[in-house]
Amino acid sequence: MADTSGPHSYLDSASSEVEHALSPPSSLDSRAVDMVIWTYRHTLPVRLAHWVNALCLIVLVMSGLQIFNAHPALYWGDRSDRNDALLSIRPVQTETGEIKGITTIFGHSFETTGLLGYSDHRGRAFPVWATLPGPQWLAMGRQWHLFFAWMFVITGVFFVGYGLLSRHLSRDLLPTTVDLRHIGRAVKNHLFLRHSEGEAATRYNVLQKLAYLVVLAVLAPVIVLTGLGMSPMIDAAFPWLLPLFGGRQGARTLHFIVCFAFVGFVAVHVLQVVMTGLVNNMRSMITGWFAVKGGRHDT
Amino acid sequence: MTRNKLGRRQLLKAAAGAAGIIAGSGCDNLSRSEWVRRLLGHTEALTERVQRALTPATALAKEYEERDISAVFPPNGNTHPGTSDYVAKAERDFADWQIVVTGLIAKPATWSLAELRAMPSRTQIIRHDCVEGWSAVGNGRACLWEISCIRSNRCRRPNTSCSTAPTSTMKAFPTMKASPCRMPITPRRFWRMI
Repeated sequence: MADTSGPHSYLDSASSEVEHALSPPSSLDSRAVDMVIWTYRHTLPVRLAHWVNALCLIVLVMSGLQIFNAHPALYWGDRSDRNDALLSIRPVQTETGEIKGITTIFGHSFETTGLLGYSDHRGRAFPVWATLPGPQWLAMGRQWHLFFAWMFVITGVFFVGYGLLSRHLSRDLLPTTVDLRHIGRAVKNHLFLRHSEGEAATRYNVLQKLAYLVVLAVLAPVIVLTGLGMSPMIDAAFPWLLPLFGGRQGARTLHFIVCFAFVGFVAVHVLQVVMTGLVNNMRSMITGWFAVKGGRHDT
Repeated sequence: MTRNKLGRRQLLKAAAGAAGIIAGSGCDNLSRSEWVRRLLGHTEALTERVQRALTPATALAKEYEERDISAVFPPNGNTHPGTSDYVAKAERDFADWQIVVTGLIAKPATWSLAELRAMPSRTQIIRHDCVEGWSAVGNGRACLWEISCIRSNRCRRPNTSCSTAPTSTMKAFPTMKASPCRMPITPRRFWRMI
């Protein structure tokens, strides 16, 4: 099974600098620059949870958009009064008979034909490629959504349980005081697209830790609770739940907003994975092994 | 380096393949396949069972004030099924319409509309949450059916079946998850007819 005692390294067989691999990377001399140190970065439970969760997110977002398409408007409070929509995405027929997709946010309307409101000669909020199933099929969309909602919650409980027991959460995800003190530098490094190298690359940086923690401690619980709050039965059993989220329609709106926070997180996450070495990152999330080039030690 | 390049190409291929399956018709085909439907159906049953286990038998839907009632209460589905059976029944003012209640209840019974009208009833202002996503607050008269259960502590919602519902909105039970033993039958149009 996976080793949880902390990262360990071994030398790439091509190198003969055995003694260097065993000493901290900061002590590497110039000859060691091309040396590759292998680190066991992600344990098996983390890798499993990651990929199951990735599948869950794709299906949940796409089936969620399918459900949204059945009533493509968002409101606050308990009721959905058509004139009080915060957001609506609708096809509108112009005087010439042409149909346009119109998205209205806080009373400001934008034409979004081709993407939102009207696409592929059909009046629908989100286009066919973004929903699951593709055609309008609310009942099936709900079934996919609830099945993967179970998977999402079970994976989340498994991950948090494992993270607490193995100390993955406290050791790898909780920012240290040193991390927090250097948060300004981390922000600057991110803005200039400077990535950690050497030994520092084997650990999560402070912004990465905070991003994961926000997803884990804020986004995930809120999306689950707002989702549950939309169930009339849960709503009857836990009457205090909906007022937390601004009523039944408020919960639906927050569910939608947090969904797009997840989409934004995944977009940045994937971008970072590509920019910091697609193959190395993918290998480490599939096999666990992450390669670090010896050399500059980022403190 | 060569190994890396190969790895990258394979990864890109795998990623494109996976994206293709998801973005393409893969999931739509799955939606039509029997085993997926059965699996998803089982999950729905599981969700229902877990929700009922978590819900106290006395939990009722939130009731609202007169001023909370929605100006517009949209019809769910249609307000006229358009079948000849429905038209025939409507012409006779649903005099021969019946509702059958069976299942895990002590006394399965059949009621006519006149019998339902004679039952004790009360007015409730509650919210209807449509599966589509919208919510409207409405006002209606509900018959409270006192249904004694076979197993007192683990009663279930009884089965109701109607020969032809007064409207197809009969299917749309409002948000009240009443006590399973004390289920108000409250389709919106149905109230109005009583």
